[in-house]
Amino acid sequence: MGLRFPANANTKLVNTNLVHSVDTIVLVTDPIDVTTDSPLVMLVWYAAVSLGLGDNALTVQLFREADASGALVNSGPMMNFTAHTTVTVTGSFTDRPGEIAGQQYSLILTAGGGLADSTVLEGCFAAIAL
Amino acid sequence: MGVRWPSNGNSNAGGLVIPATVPTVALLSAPLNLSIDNQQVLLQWYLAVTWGGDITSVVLKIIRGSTAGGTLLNSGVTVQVTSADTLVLGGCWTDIPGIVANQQYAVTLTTAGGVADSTVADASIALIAL
Repeated sequence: MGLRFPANANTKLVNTNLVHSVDTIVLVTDPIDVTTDSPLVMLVWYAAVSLGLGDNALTVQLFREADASGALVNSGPMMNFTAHTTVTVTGSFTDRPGEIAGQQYSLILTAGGGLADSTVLEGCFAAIAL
Repeated sequence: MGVRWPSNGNSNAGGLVIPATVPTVALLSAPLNLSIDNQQVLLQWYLAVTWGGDITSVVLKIIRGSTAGGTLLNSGVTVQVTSADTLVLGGCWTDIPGIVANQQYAVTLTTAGGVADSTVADASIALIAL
């Protein structure tokens, strides 16, 4: 089959319940080995979220590692929505973690604005070495 | 150039009408040949849609196949929209369709809440075998 670049993509939700104002891991990529050539890694992510009563914002954070212990890759923007609706968020980002084995990435969402929990309905997270 | 993995992408200039309440293929990929090795396919899709004047929600389905009758891959999420607004929807998904030739994928939209037609303003879908 020739050369295959390291990549992982999945739709496995780690947590579906977003407790109000609590940073929650929603998606995690499986480990990829980027052990040669310090390749750029492209992250592609998507989530559909049913916002709880009063919740009108989502903060999206991308972390290098399987949880928030790793480095924050993006700036963690907060996006505003109409409260108590179902919305989608999506995007892409790039990272160059260096030459490393078992690199994982995590997508963490935080709902804000109200007091109710929100629910993640579906999502996707991909890490692709370029 | 070496080995190139199966992939394709196509974009629509827009203008496609989404009749109210009718499941409509808003995006259709070109065929992809996955004739060896059961590769995972990463789908990336983007739609800008101007909703009808009384439309308040849309059901978004990612389909393995070229018609609304194909295999549903995602949960068929319902997203709330603001009538007469233009909204960008996008995301990613993954699939392992097996060893198959001429695999196509579709994104269908089904609007609700009113009787007015909606219009796709911009659209793109990409398939990348990982």
